[in-house]
Amino acid sequence: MAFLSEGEEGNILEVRGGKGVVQKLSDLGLTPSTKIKVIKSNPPGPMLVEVRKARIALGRGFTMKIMMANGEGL
Amino acid sequence: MTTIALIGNPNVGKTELFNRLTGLKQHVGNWPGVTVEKKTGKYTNGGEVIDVVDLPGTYSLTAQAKDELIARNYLILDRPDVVINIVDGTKLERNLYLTLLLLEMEANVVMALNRWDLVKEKHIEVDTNKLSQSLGIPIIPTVATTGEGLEELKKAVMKAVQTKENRQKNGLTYGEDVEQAITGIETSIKKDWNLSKNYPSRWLAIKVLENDTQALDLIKDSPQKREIMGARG
Repeated sequence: MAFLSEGEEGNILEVRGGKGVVQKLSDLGLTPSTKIKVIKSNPPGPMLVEVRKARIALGRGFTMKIMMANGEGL
Repeated sequence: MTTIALIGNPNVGKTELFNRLTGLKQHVGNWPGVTVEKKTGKYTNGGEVIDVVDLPGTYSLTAQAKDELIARNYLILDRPDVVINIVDGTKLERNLYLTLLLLEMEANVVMALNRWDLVKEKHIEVDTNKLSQSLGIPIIPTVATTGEGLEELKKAVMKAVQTKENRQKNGLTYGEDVEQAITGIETSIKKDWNLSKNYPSRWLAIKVLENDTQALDLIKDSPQKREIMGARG
């Protein structure tokens, strides 16, 4: 997810991390196959994403752990 | 005396509603041992004084984050008579996760479906009757900024206090495999009278299954510990 640019959308493939990371992100609604949209991205700073109609800010570290299945055929 | 707690995701209008309910009679303090603000206030309804506690805004109720743990400890240990779950009506899907966690704790939940004006403005259709039925809790549309729905909310709270004992349990299940594991652990937990008296047994069973640090700590001294851990597999 960290490499998406502003305005890009995609679906989450998986969250790669320990139990704590996976728990925290799923609490925020970031679960596999959830659609997200990048609202703002300020590398190497945090990202603002829209998920389930809510906007949340994520630290870069978190976004690196979220693998995206991006669009066509993937 | 009746105590109610307010809980909800951050930025749903929780504090606004709190201020609306309590007027200026609130008191800001600290939760013991940590620097998260604790706000309490009161209001009277039909001659009865209702104490209101504003819990930290949270998305979840894990034992990992300080604010979540405070909210969770308060709900589990202090057992307020009613928990008002404030929900942003325009972000239902996201907000309902916390609602389910509250129901899992067997809290006596009344939902304030806030930002109702925005819900209508954005032409979002929410079938409150159906939602109320499937969750088994009363749902009151509110607009915290104008005070709309506040009287109805107070009425619903009073009613929830009176009907606390025969409140229906929610029937949320997690599929056969998980349910089997939960039931196994729950059966063992119920054999420890001390545990099942103090905590909702199904909630505790789920937390043990999740390897939740606090839940594991709770069963640490239980005579049933071996059996509970055995059932956990």
